[in-house]
Amino acid sequence: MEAQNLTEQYIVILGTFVIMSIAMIYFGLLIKKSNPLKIEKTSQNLVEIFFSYFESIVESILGQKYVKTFTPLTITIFCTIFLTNISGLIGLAEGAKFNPYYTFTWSISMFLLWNIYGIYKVGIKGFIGEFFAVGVLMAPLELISFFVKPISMGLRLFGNITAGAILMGMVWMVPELLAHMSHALGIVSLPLVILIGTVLTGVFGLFGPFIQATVFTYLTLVNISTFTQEHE
Amino acid sequence: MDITSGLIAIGAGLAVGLAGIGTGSGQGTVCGAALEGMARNPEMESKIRTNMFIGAGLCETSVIYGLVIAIVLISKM
Repeated sequence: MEAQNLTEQYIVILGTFVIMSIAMIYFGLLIKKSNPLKIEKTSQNLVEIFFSYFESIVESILGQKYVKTFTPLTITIFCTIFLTNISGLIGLAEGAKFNPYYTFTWSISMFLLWNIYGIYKVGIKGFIGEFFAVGVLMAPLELISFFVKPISMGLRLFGNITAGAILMGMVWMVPELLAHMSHALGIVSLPLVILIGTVLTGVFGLFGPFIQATVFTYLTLVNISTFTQEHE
Repeated sequence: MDITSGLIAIGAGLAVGLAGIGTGSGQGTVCGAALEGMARNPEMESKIRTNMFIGAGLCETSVIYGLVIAIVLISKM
């Protein structure tokens, strides 16, 4: 790997760590301070709304019993993926943009997490029994879907963010390309392109990462729920 | 430019285009069903909208696979 490329990678990793630690300290301090009897006015209120929203997500997928276990994990996944992806807008951390290693690190670590949790929950016998639950003939298909899950999760996150980045880059290139044809056309198209580009940055830079972070969080919880449902 | 890169370009276009047909149809189904649910049950609107966006995000996966294939093909040009 070239030296410049390596430096870029280090900046990405450092940016991710900075964002993660800011988010962790901020939310950690505010959640620790939380007092249900007091009515708050400051950003404490916002954090409590945010926290109870994630509690309701975990409750709707896994059930009341697992809220305390999995809410911290849910908030970690969502915040880190969302914040690293939107901070690409200010150039701090690139996140999933043109970087499949980032998304595959996430999806494979989540794959290990839900399988290790599953083995802990149902035992090694029950875990292998999952493959033969439908029938012996379906076992190869179950095995394929077992290994495809992390690949599809990683590709989905990578593809969505990268597609948004490519589209945004193409929109910003339009005035330059038109200016090659005639200078006047390039100058005239500039305000229009800035307007459209701002809207598209909102859609692909903020809304897309939000939806993808939510989808990633939901899929992780749904995969965990395959091991928790039968033993309630 | 020889014929190989032309064929690769056609393949990349087909990968995104054909996957886009399926994704468009799927997202249309998701959106239509969500609107139907909202019309029948207006007090559930916010919950249905959240789930609709997640469903649409899941549907997008197939065209994203097509896009990844297209990127891989174009990098071989």
